[in-house]
Amino acid sequence: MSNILIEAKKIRKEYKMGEEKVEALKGVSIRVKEREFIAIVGTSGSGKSTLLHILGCLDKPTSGKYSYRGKETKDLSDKELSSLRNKEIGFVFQFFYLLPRENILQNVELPLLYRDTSPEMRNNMAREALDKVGMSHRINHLPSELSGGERQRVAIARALVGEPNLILADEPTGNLDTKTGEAIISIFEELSDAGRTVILITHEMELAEKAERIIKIRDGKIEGG
Amino acid sequence: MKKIFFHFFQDFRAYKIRFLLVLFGVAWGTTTIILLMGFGVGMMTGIQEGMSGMGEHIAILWAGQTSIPYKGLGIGRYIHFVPEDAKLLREKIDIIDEISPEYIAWGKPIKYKEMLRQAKISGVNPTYGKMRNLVPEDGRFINKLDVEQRRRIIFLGTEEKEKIFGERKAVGEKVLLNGIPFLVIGVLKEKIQMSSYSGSDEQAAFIPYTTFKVMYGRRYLNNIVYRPVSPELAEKAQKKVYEVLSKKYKFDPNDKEALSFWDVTETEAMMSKITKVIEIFLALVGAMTLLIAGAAVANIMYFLIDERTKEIGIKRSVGATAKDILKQFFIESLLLSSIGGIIGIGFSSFVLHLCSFIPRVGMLEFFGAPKLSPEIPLVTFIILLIISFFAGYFPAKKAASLNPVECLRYE
Repeated sequence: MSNILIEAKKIRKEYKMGEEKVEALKGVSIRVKEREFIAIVGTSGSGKSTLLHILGCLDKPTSGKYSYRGKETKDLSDKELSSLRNKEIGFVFQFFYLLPRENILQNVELPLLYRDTSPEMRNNMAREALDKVGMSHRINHLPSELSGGERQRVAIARALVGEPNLILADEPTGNLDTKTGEAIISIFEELSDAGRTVILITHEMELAEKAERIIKIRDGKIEGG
Repeated sequence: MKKIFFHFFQDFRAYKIRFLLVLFGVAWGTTTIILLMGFGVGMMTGIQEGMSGMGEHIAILWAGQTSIPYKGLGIGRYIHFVPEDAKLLREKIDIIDEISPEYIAWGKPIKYKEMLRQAKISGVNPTYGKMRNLVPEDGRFINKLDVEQRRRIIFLGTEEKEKIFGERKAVGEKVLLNGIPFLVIGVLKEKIQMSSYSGSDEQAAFIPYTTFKVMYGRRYLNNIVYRPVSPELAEKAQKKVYEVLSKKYKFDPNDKEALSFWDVTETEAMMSKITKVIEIFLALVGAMTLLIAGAAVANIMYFLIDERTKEIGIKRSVGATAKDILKQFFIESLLLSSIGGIIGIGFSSFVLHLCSFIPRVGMLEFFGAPKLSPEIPLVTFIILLIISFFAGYFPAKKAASLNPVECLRYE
């Protein structure tokens, strides 16, 4: 039996949109074991991205308990949360979010800049990560010179470079054609096989079915959960 | 750190015109403050130099006419000083440090070979040279023995020496004064003199007062020059002078007309007040300019943060702390203002350096050469850093406090 990596209990999240209060999450509880490959499925506006941000320690819940490796994140300082994001978590976004003015290698090196890593070490680790996603041939290019699929591979390399335990992917194929999307998903499958915990957000059931477990979310609540 | 420099130059390239405008603003602000202060200091040292040309903290004392009846004596009586009065004042008033009687004769012929000049001749004692800043360029000033022995020696003003001797050495030569040979013992060093009571010292010659008295057969002095022990005692010394002389010449000690004074310390105090005000005004104008430059820096930082909101979100998502973001923007703004400041300091130093080549003639003589004392750029730079600290800190603080998720969503 594997250890529990993530435990979220009755997570609620409210936003203020102008005057109106929007409740994005209405008490979500979720438990993820280490090495699991999970897909979170829901329509747009269902709160799945908000959930992912909270799981990734980018955002804090309005109420509820969220523990990562048994440690409650509510009590962590900005520095500790940042370090957690840096060392434990790798994000992959729908719109890639690469830095437009930096080349591929520099983009992948970015997480390592916020650690004590020597320049050579950074370089080697970034090249290795790019090699894993099959992008080592274009390290000197700018993101704008790449296709969407290639950009997403670079973004995945960036998520991987710090050797995180948890990969969080928010609609990683949303901006790609079906064929490219499938290739990207197969990278996530490989990562899962290699022993990483992967949480994939998508609205396409077809892609979600590649995961070991599917969690459906609707109107800020887990369906049947 | 290297990374931050790299980012800075990248941003510079991306927003060239904006950055250049801000740099120009900061550089111009720095230039303005340094030039203003440089010219201000130049003017003030010019004025001070000019003031001290006639002598520092000295007072000139003239005898007048009585205007108040006193012990049966009527008004309108003339008072006259004799050389002994200087001695008397020196003996009776311990807060008088130096004192000299002064005889003056204008337009007296000085002959040397074929050359004839008409000059002002002053008969004084040795301390006069000290009080009136008569520094010899060559030779010496009148000494005690000269006075005691009524020697026929003469100390020439700069201009008189030049008119009579040209480039030749004057000390050791003999000139004819009133047909009597006088040995030139010293020549006045060139000086800036802004005020005078009997003409410029450069166009004068000085001889011992004892010699003067005998040669021109004069009984009464033109005036007395004295210096109190310290400038604060100037007023007290004046009162004492009144006491002593009113007793001797039998006039009312409150008779303002009987004696008249020119107390340089009063003028000095007023001038130093004026220059202080000018200095403060210049500093304020300069500081305002710098403040505006600081606002420009803050403005571009806010703009950059807006432009780079997404970048902030991305960096936060891969593990940058709020402090990392703060540092990045803060250092960038400091760099921006430092570079602008260095350009401004360099440029204004260059301009001031050029100004030092302008010859100081005519009005410029009194204006004084603009000067760049090392503390001006230093102080300017420190002020600039303080202003840019705030100009950078608040935008950077804002960048650091942004919610990462909202940054990522920002379009």
